Amino acid sequence: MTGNTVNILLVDDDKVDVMAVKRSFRELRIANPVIEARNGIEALEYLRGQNGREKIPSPCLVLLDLNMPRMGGIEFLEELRRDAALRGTLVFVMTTSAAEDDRTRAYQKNVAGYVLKHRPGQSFLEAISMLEHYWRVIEFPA
Amino acid sequence: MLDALARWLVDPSGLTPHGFCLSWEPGLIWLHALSDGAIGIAYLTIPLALTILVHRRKDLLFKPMYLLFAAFIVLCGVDHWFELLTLWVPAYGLEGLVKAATACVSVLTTIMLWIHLPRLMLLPSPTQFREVNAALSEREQRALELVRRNNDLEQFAYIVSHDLKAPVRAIGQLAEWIGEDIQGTANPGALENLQLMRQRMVRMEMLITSLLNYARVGHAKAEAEPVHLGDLVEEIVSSIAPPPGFLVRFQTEVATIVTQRPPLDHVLRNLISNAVKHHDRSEGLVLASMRMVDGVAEFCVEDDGPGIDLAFHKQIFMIFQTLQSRDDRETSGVGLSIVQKIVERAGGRVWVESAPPRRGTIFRFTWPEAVIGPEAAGSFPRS
Repeated sequence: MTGNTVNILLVDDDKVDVMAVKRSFRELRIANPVIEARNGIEALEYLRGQNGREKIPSPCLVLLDLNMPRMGGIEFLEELRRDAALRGTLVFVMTTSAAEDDRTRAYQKNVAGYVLKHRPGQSFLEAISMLEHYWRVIEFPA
Repeated sequence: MLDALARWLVDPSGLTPHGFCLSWEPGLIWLHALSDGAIGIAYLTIPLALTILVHRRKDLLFKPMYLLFAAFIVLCGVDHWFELLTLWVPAYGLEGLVKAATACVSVLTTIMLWIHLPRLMLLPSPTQFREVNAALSEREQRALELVRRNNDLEQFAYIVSHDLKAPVRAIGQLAEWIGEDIQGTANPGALENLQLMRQRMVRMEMLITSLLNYARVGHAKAEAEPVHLGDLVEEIVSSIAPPPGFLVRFQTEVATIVTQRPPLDHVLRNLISNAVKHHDRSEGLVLASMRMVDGVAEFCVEDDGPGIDLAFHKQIFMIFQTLQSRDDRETSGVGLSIVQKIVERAGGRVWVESAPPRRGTIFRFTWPEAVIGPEAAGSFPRS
């Protein structure tokens, strides 16, 4: 188990979706720091510490939406996997898109998982709870 | 006898060649000789061109006329060559015979031409063809425009329904959170209203999903495959899982058909589940069947439910039309519209037969896309 606190980079342009994540964190008493980015470009700036944004210390886990303005999730993943320093970053896709095409492309970019925000029969809380278990158990890349 | 004939034809001694009449004047002789020769060559090549035309253009009208013309022109050409010949050789007999043949063919051609003239006059001129073509291409343009607009509309419905979902979900979510946050302090009326609001959001999401499904019909084109109808219906029934009192039976004249499975599955599933869902009693019988009518597959889903009044037989196929309040029964009113759209895309039609107060509703649809599979008709046990 990793000794440091896991930082969560939440990349989503929909404020209500961001609130949903934060609400579930509160309900599940998850105290990990959450950094919000509204699109892929902002997320990269946080990961690299560019453009006046404070670099997120590792370990870091990215929760990524796919449909965003300026730089969407798939483009973000492409950029991320090209970057030698960020290539190993752990990314979970959290999206409303159930499209097969999106899923395939995301997994081709080596995401750790693809979670639907609204899945019948499974609450958002469960998904977040699963994620928390995940990051508590796994070892992050050095 | 023959000898005499031959002499008469080519060598009537005593007659002078035609050149004699021209006093063997070289200018005149060569003028006539070269002209006759050239005309003869031209008159032989024109029929050649006509013959090629008749041979190649399969759609040519009045073909015999062209061939008659060709024969007539050939003979005229031969005539000219004989005139060339008779400048030096007095073969007037032979020349006369060729002329006679030419006369016969030309008279025949003339007669045929006059007979056919009224019909020839009726042939459309290139101008008329151009006008018809213009009208046709205008119609084609309009058809293309229609296709484009249809695509636009589908695209529009798709985008609208896709993009509307996110805000609807967000509003529902917010209503839920407000409810959670004011749980202890709000008056019961406010909480109830929030609950109603969330319910409506769920309904709206369902309607949007249905609209999306409607717009999507026909977007994915599946390959035709052998479909065992008994298995298909069994699968549908087990996934619908009708309540215990319901029985769904299936009869078919043909065990296996070759068709696109997903659309047929969708239509049958919708009709069978409707029959169960809209039944007014706790026990019911749904009878699905398929028979061949004039070589076209006709499916039928019959129930013993309350029936549908004649006044609503058109309305039920309209999008978002429901016969019950959505508060009583959560339905989108899109199901039968999708059924109709799918069936019509497959080249068939769907209709309803029902006349309350007599119980029961029969939905029938034709499925012309079906190709009868390798198994013989009637191999499926009729129940």
